[in-house]
Amino acid sequence: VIEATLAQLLEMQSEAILGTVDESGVPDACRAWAVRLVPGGRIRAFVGDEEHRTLANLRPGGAVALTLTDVVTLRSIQAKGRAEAVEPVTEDDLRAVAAFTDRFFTAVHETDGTPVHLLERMRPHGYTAFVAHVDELFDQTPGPVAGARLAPR
Amino acid sequence: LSTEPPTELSLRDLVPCFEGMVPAVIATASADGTPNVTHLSRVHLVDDERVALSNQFFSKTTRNLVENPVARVVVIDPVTYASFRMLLRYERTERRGPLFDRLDRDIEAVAALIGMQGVFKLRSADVYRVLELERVPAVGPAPDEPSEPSGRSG
Repeated sequence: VIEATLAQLLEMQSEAILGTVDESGVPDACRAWAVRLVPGGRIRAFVGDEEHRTLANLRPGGAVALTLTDVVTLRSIQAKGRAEAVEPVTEDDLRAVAAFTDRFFTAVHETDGTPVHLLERMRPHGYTAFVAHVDELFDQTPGPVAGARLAPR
Repeated sequence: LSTEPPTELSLRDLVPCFEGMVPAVIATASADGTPNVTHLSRVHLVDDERVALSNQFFSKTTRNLVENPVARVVVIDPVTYASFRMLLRYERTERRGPLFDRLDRDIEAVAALIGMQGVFKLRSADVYRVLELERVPAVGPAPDEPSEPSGRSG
């Protein structure tokens, strides 16, 4: 169920934000730049190289929360799980990041008119990949049902 | 090389970020260390050391902050699209008064914009002290942007 729901979600994804936590319980937040589905209920996602705190938090077994939002409809889903590995990006990864980022910027531009050259300011200098196992999915769409569990039921 | 000390970044430098033009991001963590990350329609500036967040539902974010009263928030300047990250610590809750009324009016305005009037009801205005304030690295400066300070607040 998780893999099927994630696959549907990745079809419409246009923004991704990532939450992690350090060993003393302090959370960190940053953007993620593309999410790819990996066999076995896993995702491979990407953060900016300069997100040092987040990258440290992505130690094996580190808890992660990743929220994907459709910029147009605001439909949002949060995936929660555990980091398994941090890895260098591949050429395929970079193509996925570029496509995701272009789609995200285009969606924001078409939704609220923000010039793309301003949105480009958010684009990181470089990227690092991480792999995480997804254990739970939650509906994060704004409103009173935000936080409702989608999977496993 | 300049011998001037780096300019301290203050909340007052981020006033445009608190206008609610670009959604913010908040990450919290439960007592058992499970993070939660979601968007906020707006972060409200209270004073030079504090911001306020609206509490509308007993959400996971709210529950986490009861268990573990620290949050990391990312705000974006709608003019330059520079991003700033804050570490917040919960300080107090207000259920009446000028701050509560300000947040209540803002929630109604946001709800009207997305056609959800009456859905969002403010439970409280939660005030947080800003423990850390930093600029998120970006590709490069936007045109006409002031020089980049970095530092700590609160």
